[in-house]
Amino acid sequence: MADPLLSILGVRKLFGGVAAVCDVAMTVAAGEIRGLIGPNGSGKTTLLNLIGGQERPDGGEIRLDGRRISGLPADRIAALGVARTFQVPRVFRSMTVLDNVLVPACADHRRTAWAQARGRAETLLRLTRLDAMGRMEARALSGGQAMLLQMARCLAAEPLVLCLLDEPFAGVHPAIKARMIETIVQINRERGVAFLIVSHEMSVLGQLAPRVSVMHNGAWIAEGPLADVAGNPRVVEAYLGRGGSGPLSPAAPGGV
Amino acid sequence: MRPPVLIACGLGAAALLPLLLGTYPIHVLTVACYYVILASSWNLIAGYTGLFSLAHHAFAGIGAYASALLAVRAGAPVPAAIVCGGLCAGAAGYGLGSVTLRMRALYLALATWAFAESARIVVSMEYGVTRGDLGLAVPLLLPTSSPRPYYELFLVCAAATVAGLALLLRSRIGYRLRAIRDDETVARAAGVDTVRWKRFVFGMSSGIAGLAGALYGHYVGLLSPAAMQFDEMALIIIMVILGGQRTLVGPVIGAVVVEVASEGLRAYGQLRMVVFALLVLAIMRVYPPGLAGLGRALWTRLRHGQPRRRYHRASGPAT
Repeated sequence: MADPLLSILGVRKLFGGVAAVCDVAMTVAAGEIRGLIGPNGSGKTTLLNLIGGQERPDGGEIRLDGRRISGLPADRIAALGVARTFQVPRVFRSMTVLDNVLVPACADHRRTAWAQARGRAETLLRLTRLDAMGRMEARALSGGQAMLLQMARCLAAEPLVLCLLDEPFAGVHPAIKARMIETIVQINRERGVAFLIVSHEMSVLGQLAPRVSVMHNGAWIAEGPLADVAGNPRVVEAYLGRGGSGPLSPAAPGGV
Repeated sequence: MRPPVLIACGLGAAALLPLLLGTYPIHVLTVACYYVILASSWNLIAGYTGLFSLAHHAFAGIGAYASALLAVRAGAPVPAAIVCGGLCAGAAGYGLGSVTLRMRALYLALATWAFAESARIVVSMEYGVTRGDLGLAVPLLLPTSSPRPYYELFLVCAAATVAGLALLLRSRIGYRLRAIRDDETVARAAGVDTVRWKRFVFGMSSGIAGLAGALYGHYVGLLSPAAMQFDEMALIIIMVILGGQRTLVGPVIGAVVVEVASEGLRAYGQLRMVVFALLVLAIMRVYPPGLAGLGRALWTRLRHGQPRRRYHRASGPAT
């Protein structure tokens, strides 16, 4: 395998005495779509926070393209091409939908030509079919549309090598879900962007991600194609054993 | 009429007012222009960036005293002293912004208020330097005490401030500031160096306030720590809320209306503040867009015969 894009080396994060993430080690290759699953409270969101720089690890190291990013401020990590969405959709509420997607072009530590950024923003809005709402304030969007918008904002970044999506499909109408999947596949194919997707939607992950990683109680417990992982006794015990088959607890909050 | 034509006509008419009005009304309008600058620059930090600083009046005072002391004690030429006063206030604002970076909302308001009170107390205690409550006589900027030339100068400065803020807010910096106001974590995750821009906006708005304060000091010719009392800050807040925050015209309308009204109601003394406070409460509760929003709604109704809808309902699946 080629050098990994993202390497997580023995990363640990403690909240008080509780280890939210405990010695996780995993890698994501450039251009890969990787699923990240695990029961609620298994540390998936904390892991994304550590990668994105919203939290600092208490131990271990995270590397992007061989360069250490753990400990860098979030805006520096973003400048290197890491973008993310949040579990509860977070958009710039008082800005228009179009302006939301233009914010990454205003980022520091990198230079984007405005005309080019505007063109890309409009393309992304068409792709996510939010273009008709471009001039509307983002506060007027529904929950699913806000999810779509924060994904579009995420994809508007340039350079972009890794996109962290935190439960992008939770509580989202099937039509919007299909639009999200389309968008992810297209951006992955056209721009070679890698995705790390936290989700409880096994059917969607099976469709999108050739491999998934599984976390339980802050630790990495398995990795592989979803079908194989689903048969792994440790995973069954931690996760699948509880709720049987099918989509597990969709739209469930938590995951810290 | 297109907006730029309208603005040019308005400014032209304002510039011609000294031909029609007496000395006292022109003085009132000069002070109104001073408040236009303060209210607009406070709107930049509090309205557009969401940092509810309560030290804006203190920065105007710092600028005024720095400039006056440079002119009085060091014999600096007044224009140079005014620029230095603005720079001092800007530097102080940058410093205050740096130490309050992690504070939000109420905590930021308390910290900036504490700073402002400390600054006022220092100015009144250090009477050896500032002459404290005795007041500091300040050399005038222009060789006249007639308010007319000062009025034209303040009008130009106020117009330049609003125009400068308009340009700033339309640039990428404006996007960054609005993003920080709406969600700092997300702004940062999108690559905005929030630390840098919060310091910038503190320095910038305080610098503008300092320049205005310095200019004002060399107009009235006498400084006292009374100008740094919290009443001044309350007045700025009233102007911005009444006029309409997060709009460029709001603070302009608010400053002129409040200053002119409080002169007209001078006979009622401190009761004016009670009236304004009640007005602000009512506006925040009932009609947050303020006078600017009201004006816009009326304008649209006049032009189109019906109120414009703010949002069009989204078509597409409900989720």
